Amino acid sequence: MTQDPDQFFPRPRWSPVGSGAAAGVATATPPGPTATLDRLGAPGGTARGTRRERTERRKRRHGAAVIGGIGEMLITLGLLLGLYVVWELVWTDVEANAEAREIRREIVEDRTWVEPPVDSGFAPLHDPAVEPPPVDDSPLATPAFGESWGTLHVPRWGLEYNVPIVEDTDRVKILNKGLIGHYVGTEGPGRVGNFATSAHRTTYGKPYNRVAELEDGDSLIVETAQYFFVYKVYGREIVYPDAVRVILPVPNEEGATPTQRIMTLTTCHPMFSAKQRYVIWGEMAYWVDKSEGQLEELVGEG
Amino acid sequence: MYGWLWRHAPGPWWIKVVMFAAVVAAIVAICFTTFFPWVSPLLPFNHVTVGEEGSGTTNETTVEE
Repeated sequence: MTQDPDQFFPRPRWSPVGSGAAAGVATATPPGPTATLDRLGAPGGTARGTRRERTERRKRRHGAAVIGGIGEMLITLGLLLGLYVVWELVWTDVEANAEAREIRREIVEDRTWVEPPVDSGFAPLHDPAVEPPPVDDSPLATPAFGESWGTLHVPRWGLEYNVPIVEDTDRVKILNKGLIGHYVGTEGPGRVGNFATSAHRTTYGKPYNRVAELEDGDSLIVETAQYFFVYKVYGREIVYPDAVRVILPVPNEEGATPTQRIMTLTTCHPMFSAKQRYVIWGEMAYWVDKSEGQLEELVGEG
Repeated sequence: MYGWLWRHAPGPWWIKVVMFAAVVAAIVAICFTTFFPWVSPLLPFNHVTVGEEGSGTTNETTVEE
């Protein structure tokens, strides 16, 4: 029990309560409180100090424990935030992709879904200006909430890209399932007006992850039960989230009467943020009846 | 906090390790299945539609979809 307590609770060098070594130069130390004098009387000695010193030391130990506890909580909070990022960027994709796959399977297995005949060759491309696509314009033809319009193919994003487009843009019930949402009240695929859609860009299956790669002339192919509607990208804009003008029947033209068949893609921008929206527009170039054959640009090299 | 838990957990050290791993796994599972999905819509990182409510930068100018 002759250990110097200062070994465990080091004091600043300037502390008037000198260490054992400092006792040798005691004369140089300015006259301190009684505690110092006691210590000087027994160099390297009593080891436990006075009552006042002990209380002080206990207080300090207490303070250290509290600060340590706060530190541990902050570290825990940091780990939780990190975990959240992992969940958001990795796990939501895993879950949403599984759900989207399931929904795509359901859509395609629907009995009205036409598969192009295998050996039929490529189907003729119909110009919508000459032969308007035979789409049902009646309100009854609009799917109910969460029901499917068809799927989207984008050859620029790979031939295997094929994501269901469903009615409504509810974030939790639709977009978070890795699906593309169709803005309620905008037109359906193939119709004159604006077929406006929205999807996640960085999370939940991120269907619109690669919008920035789309170039003018790239195909956006909406596959419905009976038809392929092929839109060609012609424009893009980065807007603030209140810019509903981008999904007007004639984009950016309030009150104009639509004459073209437009498709709109909206997603968040910049990536990992929600400050703005990235908007892509395509205009319908041609359509294909699936019963007449394959769509050439969706058939792979082999 | 963790030191206190470690000192007060019963059993030899390897039981403690197993126990702590189980608790951590349970916390991660709860976060992934319940807590994060609940908190996610309240955070503004995933807004992708235009004219959306509560998207942070909009207020009176917001138009309903």
